Amino acid sequence: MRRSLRRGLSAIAIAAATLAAAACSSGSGAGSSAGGKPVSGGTAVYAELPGSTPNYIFPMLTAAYYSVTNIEQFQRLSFRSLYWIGNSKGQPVVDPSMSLAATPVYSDNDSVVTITLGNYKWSDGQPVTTRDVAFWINMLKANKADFAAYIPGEFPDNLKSYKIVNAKTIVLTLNGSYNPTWFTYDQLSQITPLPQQAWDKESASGAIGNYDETPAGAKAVFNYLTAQSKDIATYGTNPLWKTVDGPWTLVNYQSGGYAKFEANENYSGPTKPKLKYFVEQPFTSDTAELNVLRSGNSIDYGYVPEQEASQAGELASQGYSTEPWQGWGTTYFMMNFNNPTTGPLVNQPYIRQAMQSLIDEKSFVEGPLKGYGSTNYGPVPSKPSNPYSDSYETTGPWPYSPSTAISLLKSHGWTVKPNGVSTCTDPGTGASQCGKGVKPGAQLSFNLPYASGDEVVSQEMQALKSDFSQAGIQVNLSSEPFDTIISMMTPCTPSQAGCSWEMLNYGGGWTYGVDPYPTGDQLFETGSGSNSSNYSDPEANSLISATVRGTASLKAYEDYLAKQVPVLWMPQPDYQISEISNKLQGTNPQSPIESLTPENWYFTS
Amino acid sequence: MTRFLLRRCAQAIVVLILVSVIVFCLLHMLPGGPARAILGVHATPTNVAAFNKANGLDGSLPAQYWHWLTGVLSGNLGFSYVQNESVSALLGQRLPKTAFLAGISVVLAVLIAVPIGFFQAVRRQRVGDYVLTTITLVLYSTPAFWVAIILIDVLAVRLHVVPAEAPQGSFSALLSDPQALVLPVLTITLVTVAAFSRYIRSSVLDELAQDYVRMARSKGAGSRVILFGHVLRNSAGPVVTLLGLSLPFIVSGTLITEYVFNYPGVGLLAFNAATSQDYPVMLGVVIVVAAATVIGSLLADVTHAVLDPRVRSAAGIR
Repeated sequence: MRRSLRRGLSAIAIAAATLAAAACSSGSGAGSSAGGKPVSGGTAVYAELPGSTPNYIFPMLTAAYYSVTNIEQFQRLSFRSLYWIGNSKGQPVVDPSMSLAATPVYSDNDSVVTITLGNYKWSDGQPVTTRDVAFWINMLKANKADFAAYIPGEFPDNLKSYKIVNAKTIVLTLNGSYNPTWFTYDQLSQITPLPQQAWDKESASGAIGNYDETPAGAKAVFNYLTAQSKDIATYGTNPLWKTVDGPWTLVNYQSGGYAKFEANENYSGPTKPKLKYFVEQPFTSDTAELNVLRSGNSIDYGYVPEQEASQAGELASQGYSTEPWQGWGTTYFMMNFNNPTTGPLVNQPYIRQAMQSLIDEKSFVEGPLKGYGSTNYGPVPSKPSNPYSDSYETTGPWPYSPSTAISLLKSHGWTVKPNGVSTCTDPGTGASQCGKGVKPGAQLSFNLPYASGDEVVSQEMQALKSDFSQAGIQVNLSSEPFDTIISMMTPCTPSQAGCSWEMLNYGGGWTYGVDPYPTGDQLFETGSGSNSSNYSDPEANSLISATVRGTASLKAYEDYLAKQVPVLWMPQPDYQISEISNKLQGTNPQSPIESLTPENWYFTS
Repeated sequence: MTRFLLRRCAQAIVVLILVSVIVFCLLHMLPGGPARAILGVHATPTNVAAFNKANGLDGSLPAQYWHWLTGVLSGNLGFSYVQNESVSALLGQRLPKTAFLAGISVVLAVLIAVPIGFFQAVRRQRVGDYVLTTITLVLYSTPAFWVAIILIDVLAVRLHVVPAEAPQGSFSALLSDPQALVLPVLTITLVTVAAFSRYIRSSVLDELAQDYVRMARSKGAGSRVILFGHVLRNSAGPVVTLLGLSLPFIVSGTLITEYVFNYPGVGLLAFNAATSQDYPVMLGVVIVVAAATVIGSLLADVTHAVLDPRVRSAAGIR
């Protein structure tokens, strides 16, 4: 481990006072075995997940580089968002103390937003102003098709105009009324003020100007910054990336994802870094990372691979504490509502509810996930702790109950054949019949390809096949490469060739990263871009719309979707089983949207 | 000699073109395509179509191949979206590291394997030969990843003698942390020694049975003169050929070793490219390895011909 002491007695004194305060106030740490005296300086090494290495520094990134790793674990260290998601309790809510702006004020029937910036400074000493916010907006408007998080109809399409009142206040006029929570969380939190005084130029040798104020100029600036961001060999030296408002400045970057950050001495935020350096270390494989963990302390913040979860406790002897990291997302697998054969079946809510009743989530958590996960029965996750999920969804309207599943099928005209294939013997649209489109003699048999290479998913699917057979629902499992699975995952109509898949499990779900207010508009609204299962329900659309364009809370929406089962909910695995050195403190809580805040971390002697 | 070289170069070019066509076609037969792999599971069809168009992936397969080939001929191996870097730059950074790892390991392996092979051949069917045969056979039949895991467990985890992870960062960082190189070098060396020593033993035994050895003995030449003056040079020819032809084996060995020890070389680059459908990098690595193999084979043939007049004569080289 490479550590160095910060220079200057006064700095040490200030840091020591801050550390003492931090240690007393939060009590957050890697483990209970930690003790010792806080020390200033040092280098903390964080192990990157295999295949998740940062490779793009410009915050307005294109789809090819859009990832949690690039945004939350790389760019955010240097470039802070207007509103920071993740509070000191680890909840996925805005933390005003970490945000660049005060809580926005909504007026005119929630169609006008007034944003007031705090007293933040760039590392070059210039204040963060509303011009920097406008710089982002102008760039986004001119280049929205290239911004990965852009969704047609949403920001900046829903922005009618903006007005800079002064250096600290900017007023946005929207094209209608929006739910303030949704707009703040899912729209404004994406705004990352950019250093206009350093970046508003069209070439390396060009002068700084106001090029962003015309579409052509904004395109030229975007192209220049994008080109610079593709020159990764210069990440550590390019002056562009040295003007930061976050607590860290990138000083060394190596192809493959190695990144070394130095504490920004001029950071104006609430928590000054105590460490001198923060290093992100790439690993080829879970095995390589685990070997390093087992052999000593060259990693301060690592992880135990999901499939090796049983080793978590054994690393205590190497001085590590196990800290499960719960991500803000929901896991599920999909049914194709437009499949010509099985679509009519899964369009019957009672069949979906029967299938959900056959998924033994608790045993999945205890078994394949070895306790590192949580049950999940709807679109709003129950964990990590949050103000949105309610008891109805948390306990689940369709908990594991084979008798309920059998009862649901029998009461809708099916002859249930446990360990065989159930058959529709009473077709029709009556309340006790099989339902619209279900033909007489139709069988509950589905092809279910799932992504290979994940032991947990494989175990879950085998168990699910067995559980489903209790009600005569046959699933024909096949293990396919991940890329094969996701290549099928596109919205389709029944007549299209690509609509022949019946069910799919790629082993994931949806992470509420850029849309931390979990309204599900991108997932379950009819025709939305990521609604790959072709789910369409007017009532769901109405409830979703009320959470986005009205002022409704999430309750009605989440309870309805939990009951309707538009996808088959699966247990939510922890994002990571973190292994944190007992000498490294201040790491808890781990961010629900998987961002890193090493400015809170410090070593103890 | 010139004619021989030209003929072999022409063969090498044909081989390289065939390799590139086969690999290009195989890669494009994989499901999903690169757009999905790069843009992620929630990419919309519009996103995918835009990506394909922007990257020339919406054309026919021959058109895409021609586009790639003309780029290669002008020195452009393509751009990796996964790594956000040109393939040439990536290979430029990683190749020296792999060459360094493989080079040190092979040199060490040769330095160890040649004496072992000679010793076994001279002392054949005696205790020393049996012991070394057993050891080398065990190593030869043990997969590289298994050797690596055992070394990590014993030397890094239990004894804490050396780190379990290779040095990270730039090429100079490799040199600044030699302790961290011990395990990766040792893994490749052990596996390679086993293969080489078996081959050298057989080669020396073949030479010892040759008429010229009996002739030398009958003329009163001592064992030392026979072994080092005649047998060594003649048995070196097949060994040189072996070195040239074992390049793919060594590269595949480094891939596994780099994977286990987190060594940032070409093997690791290839592995990551394969798992993330990074087509340009995969093609670049395959072409470079194929070129190295063909060149290695060519150099081995030429060196063999220089060392052994019988080969020159058989190949019609003057």
